Amino acid sequence: MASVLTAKDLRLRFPGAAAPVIEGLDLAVERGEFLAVVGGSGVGKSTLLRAVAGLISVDGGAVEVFGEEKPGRRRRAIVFQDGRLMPWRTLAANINYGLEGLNLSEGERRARIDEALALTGLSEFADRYPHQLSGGQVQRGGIARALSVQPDILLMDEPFSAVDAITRTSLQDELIRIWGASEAAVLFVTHDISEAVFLADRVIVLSGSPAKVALDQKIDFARPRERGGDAAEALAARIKEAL
Amino acid sequence: MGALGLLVFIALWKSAESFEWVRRGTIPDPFTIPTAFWDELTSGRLVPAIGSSLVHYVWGLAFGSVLGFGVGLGVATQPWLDAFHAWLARILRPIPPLAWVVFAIAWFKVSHAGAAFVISIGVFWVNYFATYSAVRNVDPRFYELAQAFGQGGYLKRTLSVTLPGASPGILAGLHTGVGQAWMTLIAAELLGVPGMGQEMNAAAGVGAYDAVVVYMLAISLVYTISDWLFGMVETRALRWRPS
Repeated sequence: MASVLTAKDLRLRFPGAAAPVIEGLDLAVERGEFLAVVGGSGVGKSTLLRAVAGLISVDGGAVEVFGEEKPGRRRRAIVFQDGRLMPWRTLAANINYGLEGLNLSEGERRARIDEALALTGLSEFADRYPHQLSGGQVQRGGIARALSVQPDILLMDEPFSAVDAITRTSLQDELIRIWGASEAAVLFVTHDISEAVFLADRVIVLSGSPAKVALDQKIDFARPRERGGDAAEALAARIKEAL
Repeated sequence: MGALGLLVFIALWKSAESFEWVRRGTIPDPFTIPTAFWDELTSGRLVPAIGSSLVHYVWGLAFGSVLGFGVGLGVATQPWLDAFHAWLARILRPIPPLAWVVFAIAWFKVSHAGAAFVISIGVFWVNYFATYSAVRNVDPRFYELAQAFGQGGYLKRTLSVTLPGASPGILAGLHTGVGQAWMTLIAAELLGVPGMGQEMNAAAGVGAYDAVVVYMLAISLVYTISDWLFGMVETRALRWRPS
């Protein structure tokens, strides 16, 4: 299987910190794969995600993104923990933000926005401002914005950690549906083990200081998956042990 | 309630005049004000005075606003400019706009340009500080977003994040400037540039205090109109904010 993104011998530091937070980390995300990265707080999960997103420079090693640059697309797109919609733009204009500068015609952009809105179930809220949306809708808006650039890999930074439990469950189901409908791979950072086990094809556990990959666990339960269940519990226990 | 306050004020004013709380002839009878207003209007002094005041008001306001905004934005986004101008701003800032009247006369004689110059100085500082602090307070998370979606260059970032993010503060500064300009305007005109301030001075010279009050009220009226107009612009520009 071809990789869509790799990190080799990665060394990362928090800004201003002397010691690296992550060292000697190797990572490969396969095309279309759903990979979850689990770790405790402060272990450098978000830093890792920002490094592979190209938002911060690495201290050592290299991040490589494969696949050709295609016009009208971005290879990587990120979904932030806080949704991060711009309050001065409507939902549709927020989704358009990723498309600006992609050399698309007005009509193509309109179509992309409509498609992303439909996929995330937000069509009727297109003209609302972020403060007129619920937390779950803002989060789906962030996902729609990332999807609209048709990325090869969707980078998600604990995207469901700030919403209530019921919303989280439905967002997880929705994410699986959206991921199935697109061809994008997902790199999903979370501290929630059961979330990782429910969503991912493979879970990587980060642990230690500096952090390394403590466990690389395939999860081949058939989809659609049930929440909980003995096999999943056993896996979660294994992951917890590695943490 | 507001009307009652006004009535009480006029009653106090009238008694101050009738019972000679201040020296006779130095306070006009409030009930002669409408007549005085009519005199000023029909004698062809009031309207040209307002027109003349508006000329240097508009120029002074425009120059001061544009420069204050531009410099504020520049120094807030370019560290070297910030360092470069820091001492200069500290030295010049405390000088009251009216202290510049001396140079206004020396450079521009008694003219619209001279009055506009003095006005623009006060407006400049208001806008400079408002823009500077508004830009500095833009949520840095949106810069990360801009970078993630290919809008991290200076110009794109400024247009898509800095300006909209800072717009409430920038507009508040512009709004304050609209008022500040009127305050300086009258003082700037006392040196002889034609306008409401000068007419006021001339009226006071011949003891026509009722005419002075007419010009005071005219200033209040024009200020209220400009404030209201700008308020509408501001509300429209910031309609994305939760009310």
